[in-house]
Amino acid sequence: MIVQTNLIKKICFSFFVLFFFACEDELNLNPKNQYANESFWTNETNAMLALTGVYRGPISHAGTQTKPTDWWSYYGVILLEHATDNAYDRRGDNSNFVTITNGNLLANNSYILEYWKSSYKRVAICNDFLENIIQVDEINETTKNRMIAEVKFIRACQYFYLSQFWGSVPLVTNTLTPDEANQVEKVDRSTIVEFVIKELNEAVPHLPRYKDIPLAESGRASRQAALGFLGRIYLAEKRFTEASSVYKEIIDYNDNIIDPDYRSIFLAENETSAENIFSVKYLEGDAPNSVQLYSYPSILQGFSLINPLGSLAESFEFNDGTPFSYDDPRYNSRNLSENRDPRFSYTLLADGDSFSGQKFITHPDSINSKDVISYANQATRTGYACIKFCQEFFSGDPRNDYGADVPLLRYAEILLSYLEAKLEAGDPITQELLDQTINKVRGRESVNMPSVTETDPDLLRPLLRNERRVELAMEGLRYWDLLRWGIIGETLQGDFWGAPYPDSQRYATVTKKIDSNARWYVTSKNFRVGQDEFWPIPESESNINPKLIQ
Amino acid sequence: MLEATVRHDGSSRFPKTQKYGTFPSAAIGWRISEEEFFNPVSKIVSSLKLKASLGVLGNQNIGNYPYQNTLSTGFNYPFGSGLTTGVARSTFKDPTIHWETTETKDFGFESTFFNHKLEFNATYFNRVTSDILFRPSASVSSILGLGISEVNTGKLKNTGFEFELMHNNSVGDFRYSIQSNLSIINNEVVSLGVGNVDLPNGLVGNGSTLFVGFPMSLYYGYKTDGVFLDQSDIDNWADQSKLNPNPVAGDIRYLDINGPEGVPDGIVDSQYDRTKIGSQIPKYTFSFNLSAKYKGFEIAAFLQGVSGVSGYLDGVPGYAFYGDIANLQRWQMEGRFNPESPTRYPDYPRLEDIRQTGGPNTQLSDWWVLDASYLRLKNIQFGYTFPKSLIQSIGMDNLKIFCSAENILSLNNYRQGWDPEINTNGNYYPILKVFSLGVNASF
Repeated sequence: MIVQTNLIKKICFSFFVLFFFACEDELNLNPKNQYANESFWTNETNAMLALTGVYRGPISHAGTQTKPTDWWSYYGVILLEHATDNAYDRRGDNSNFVTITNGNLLANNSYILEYWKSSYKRVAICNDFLENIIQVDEINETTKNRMIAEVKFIRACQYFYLSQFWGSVPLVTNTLTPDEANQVEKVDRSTIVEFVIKELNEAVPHLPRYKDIPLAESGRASRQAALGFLGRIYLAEKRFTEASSVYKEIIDYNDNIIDPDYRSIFLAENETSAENIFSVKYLEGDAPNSVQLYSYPSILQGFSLINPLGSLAESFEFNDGTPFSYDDPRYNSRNLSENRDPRFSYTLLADGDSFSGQKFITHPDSINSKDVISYANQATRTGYACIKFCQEFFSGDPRNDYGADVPLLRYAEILLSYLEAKLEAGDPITQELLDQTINKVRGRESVNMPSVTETDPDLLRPLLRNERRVELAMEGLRYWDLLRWGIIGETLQGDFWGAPYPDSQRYATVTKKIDSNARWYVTSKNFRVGQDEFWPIPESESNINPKLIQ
Repeated sequence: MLEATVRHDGSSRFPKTQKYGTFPSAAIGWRISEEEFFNPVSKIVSSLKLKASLGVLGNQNIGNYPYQNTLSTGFNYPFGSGLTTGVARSTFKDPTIHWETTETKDFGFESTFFNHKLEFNATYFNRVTSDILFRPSASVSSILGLGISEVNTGKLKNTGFEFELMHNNSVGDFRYSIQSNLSIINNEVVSLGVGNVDLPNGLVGNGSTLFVGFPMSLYYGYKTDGVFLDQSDIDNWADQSKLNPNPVAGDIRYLDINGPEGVPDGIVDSQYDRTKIGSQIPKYTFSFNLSAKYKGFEIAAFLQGVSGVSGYLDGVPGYAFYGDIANLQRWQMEGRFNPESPTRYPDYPRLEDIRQTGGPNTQLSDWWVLDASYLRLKNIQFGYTFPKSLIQSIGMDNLKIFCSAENILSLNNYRQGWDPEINTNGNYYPILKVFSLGVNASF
């Protein structure tokens, strides 16, 4: 019996051992539809895969979006105008874009949370790239340095936006563990700003010039793109001399142009114009955007979501360069673009205008029009529509088939910013300087507005700011401009109006407030000076890390 | 009786050093009623068994490759005029991930009385789950910048009782039986692991749903006291500009319950003035199964319910004019705050357009948290079996007619038209009422 028991024990033990060894291999598996990090960072091809991922970041390509998935998603760029005096969100006063600046900003605002989350998502992808690219050896040094510079540029841009809208935020430059992420503390705004300047300066020499980037690589960052963002942060910091020398460098490269055809640079046909220094890339079908669907009026089956305000429409001068006025005989309420800066009709659609063969009728008396101005219909709230990013007679589905790039940095901005930097730095303003900058922008063939001849800095400033507003309208820069000019509080205050309807019978009975120029009442804003200049830390973040608001 | 087992399990889902786990368990039982000393009471107590068990269970029920740091596909970007394939790190993975374990301790007895006509069982259970495999997305700051894969985080305790009471009997041709179940559960988060944050109000947790010492999936929000009646009411109330910058009559009045000094500070804010306002986990779960039979007639019913649980009607079910998709419900219309005749405690605050992103009145507060207890008649059935003598003459062996109804009655305090059993918002298919009539015939 004892022998038998021993035998059984031995047999059992052998099975046990066998089982153990047999299993060891079967239990070590590697994923087949993902790349294991430890074996990935080897050659240029893989590094390019990862670099592409850095550019993509959190941007959603799901056609219609309901939130800003990134600072550079079309929704994050264009719809941010709803927080300014340029446009109004058809979804009303409770739209989370409108509440950012109308005195109702709360820490649980879901759109500021999206901007916050997307920044740190992209930062995490950048950090992972920068930590691992070093070990890639099957790659030439120039290529590797270019990639590192691109990623540093993209990461610096995230901190640029964070520094402008939040000011003081955590500065994360390496991959964190969850526990570290929950404990991280904010640093001063100035530290973030210095980091952005340092990183952009480090990136610049390794980035190729705009002219050296082949068409197949369009969308990748050029030296001018990094300099453009460097210029922006210098402007915001009021370091005007440094800003002007950065802008001068871009101008001196002479790689970029003011495109004679203003309207085309926002459309697929001319999206790679040398005016567009850096754009967020979209592609019809595979990587579409729905900007047309959101822009289109009801008559074109659009959502009428993006509604330019009267305040923007009124900033377009008469075509002789004099400011628009409702008292001027050239003003025609039935044809608002008549006698105006041609950019009016490249940007806006007003009552009676046609687009894609359809007439846009918003007049309060035209009660049978789908686009009649109202407070309730899925139609314009201001009497205007934005067609800057819309292609006329587009035949595809505006939700999934439209893929024009959205410009993030244009040469026109460079020229206007250069003039602004010179002006604010106290440099002398000469006619030659005006002709090289603002007059080039407004004098382009398709715009052809008369030259500015004002050389007194204090008188030029409002002209320049207005030019910037008109030229860059709906491109997502107005909010930041108002912030850094320090006029956001006074600007986003009081009543905002839409289009005028002086000959309307119904006007007085349907608008919520009466205006002496018979403009439609849209909304009132009450920007809280001293409070709303910086966004609050999102509530879901301070929930998990109370240090962020202490 | 004694039974013991030891398991040694390996899983490919864990890294090399953590693949194996050893899980022992043991159970003992004692049929007291079979001991000699039990004879004097055996007329009343027909059987009695004491039982106890102890054990450790392992869980590896998670996705594959949770420990390997990977780059995910799908990060394509359209350089030039074509789509370029891209990858990126998008998920945090823990290289030390290992088995989740649950220690269970059960004690109880099974007993029957009066010749097995009455049965009563009771069990006390204590389950402690450690190193919980969980994606703690709500407990990690988005500063991490990554999604989070399963990690071993947190410890959860479930203690409670389960009772079963059954009775069946017959009196002449009348037979009946009753079965009932009751469980009482105390669910308690012992630790969150990665989300153990010391919050300014003294709680430890992730500031949204999980807190040490409380049940999982807590409703954590503001206490309210009706709505504002007018401007002077607003002026005299605690400052709630952090929740509602421009309150008007008919907006919810949030209570200031705490502050940095441990007492109300005159400001309502998310740091100090949120507290437990309900639990999604029912404290009591119960059911009854009743049946009776008299000659050819029979009736059976099944009831089921929960109590000590809260529900939260937000989104489409809760808010009027919500995000362009919700309509106005009758209870909202009838119970709304009416500025013409303001009342402190209307059923619904002032009517306004509410975006999907929410608004000042849609903060998670006890205004929207409801008592989700219910008792539901899940099923009731009547039947009649015709006597054989009657049907054999027409050549049948068996003939039964019956009718049954499901979900016809529910007792609850929920909003009209909404069901506390489906404790969720958004769109769902309602629980169906089903009526059926049937004939069972065999020849």
